[in-house]
Amino acid sequence: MKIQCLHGFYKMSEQNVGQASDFSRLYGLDLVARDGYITFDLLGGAPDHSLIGREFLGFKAIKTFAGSPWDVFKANEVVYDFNEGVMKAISTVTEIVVVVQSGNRLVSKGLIAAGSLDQDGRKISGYTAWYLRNTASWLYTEVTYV
Amino acid sequence: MSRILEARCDASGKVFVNDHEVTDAVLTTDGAQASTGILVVDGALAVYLTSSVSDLTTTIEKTASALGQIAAALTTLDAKPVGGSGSAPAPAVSGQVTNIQTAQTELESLKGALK
Repeated sequence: MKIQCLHGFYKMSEQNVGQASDFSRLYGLDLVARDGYITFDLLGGAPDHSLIGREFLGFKAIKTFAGSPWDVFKANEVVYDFNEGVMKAISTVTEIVVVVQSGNRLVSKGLIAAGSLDQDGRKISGYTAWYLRNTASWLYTEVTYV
Repeated sequence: MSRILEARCDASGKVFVNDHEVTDAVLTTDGAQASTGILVVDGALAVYLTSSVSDLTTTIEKTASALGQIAAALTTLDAKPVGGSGSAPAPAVSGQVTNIQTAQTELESLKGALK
């Protein structure tokens, strides 16, 4: 299962049949298909534009913007919190995660919530992660910061 | 990726989409009168566009009307040249009146053929 986090928007794709349902059971989160990828239920309705002052996904937009949903998230400085199932201002995410280098990969316990701080205090804006079903662990091939 | 949304602008220059005010929209017109148009949003740029055809139509109507009034006045003067003893009659202006009337006709034709 491959997961791309783009400015707090999550795109998933199965590498083997059944990974999505495994992931859904593991995290207790509903997933939906959208534009050729899988994402969290709420993000299935993420808009491709925002109007300043108008709510989208329960969050009041701070900018008028049009683009990909993840660009709309970035413009409005908001991320999806899959632990709570709500949108949050990225500045309010204060979780600290440990990301360590392991060979040519990065490893962290569990799935990183966008906006989390790494051990060096850098705010994580995105990543590419792989869920390994056999070991129920996560490998990260790319991590980007705000 | 850009989005085009139906919008309107009130007489104070405020832009609305479905009655929601878009405070960061940029107007390409003066916005001194209420209008309907579209809001083009491309990235962080939001531009309100309205059709100025009605403004142009009104301008042409008023200009053609003014030319008609001028031509009529000159025709009247031409018909009744002022000329008492010791003063010369006013010069004939029928040629100029024809030119003005031609311009008026052209403007009225243009009004009906606005793109």
